[in-house]
Amino acid sequence: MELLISGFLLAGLFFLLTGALGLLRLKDVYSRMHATTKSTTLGVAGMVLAALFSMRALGLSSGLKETLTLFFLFLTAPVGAHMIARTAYRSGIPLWKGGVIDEMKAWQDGTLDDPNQPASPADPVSPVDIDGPQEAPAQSPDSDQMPSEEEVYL
Amino acid sequence: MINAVTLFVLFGISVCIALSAYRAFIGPTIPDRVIALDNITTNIVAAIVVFAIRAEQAMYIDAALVITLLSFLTTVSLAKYLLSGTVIDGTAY
Repeated sequence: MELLISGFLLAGLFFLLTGALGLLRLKDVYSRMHATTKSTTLGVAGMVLAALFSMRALGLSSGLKETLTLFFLFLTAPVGAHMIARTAYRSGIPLWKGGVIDEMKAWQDGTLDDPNQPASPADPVSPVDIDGPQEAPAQSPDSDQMPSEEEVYL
Repeated sequence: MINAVTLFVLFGISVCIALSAYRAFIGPTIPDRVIALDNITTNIVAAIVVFAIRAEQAMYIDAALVITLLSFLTTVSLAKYLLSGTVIDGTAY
């Protein structure tokens, strides 16, 4: 039982470290959120499962509150991340310039014909350039080429 | 064995909190800081749970449950505030 609890704790620590490293190293808001939301939730899930097994083995708790914590964590973390992502997009924070596709931009421009069909190769969706407060001042005219290392956001 | 593992995991969680605090300090936009602070809160929930295992007290799980719900509340409040300038405005978003 101690091996099981230790395994869950170390797995949870691995996922928490992955999430913190992704939060530190990734390039824009959306990818940072992609890193933290999933892996941090999974890391805390491992630790709560370890607490559940520990409390059940020690006879201290029935495990109801651990299960409830896990349920609320899995319920609230994606909703909060979704609201922050929508706020960030609507307030005009630009995507990373090295990104490939921005489906929301095509949807807002009305150039997306059918969302279930892939985009035709004649007019690929260009990387987004939203005029945000953090926008680089000058757009080079050949902005649809691959960006150099200085043009990359942050 | 459990004592050593929980001590190691608590040190690792403090490293995670330090990395997230650095991102909250340097974060170029406000949603970056919100995400980093939310990540710090989730790490604190994990630290409380690990400390509950270490101290063999089931009481701390209640604190972890409450902090989880408060974290969601603060995230939604900050999202609404950044989007519309108010928190309670009667609209759905």
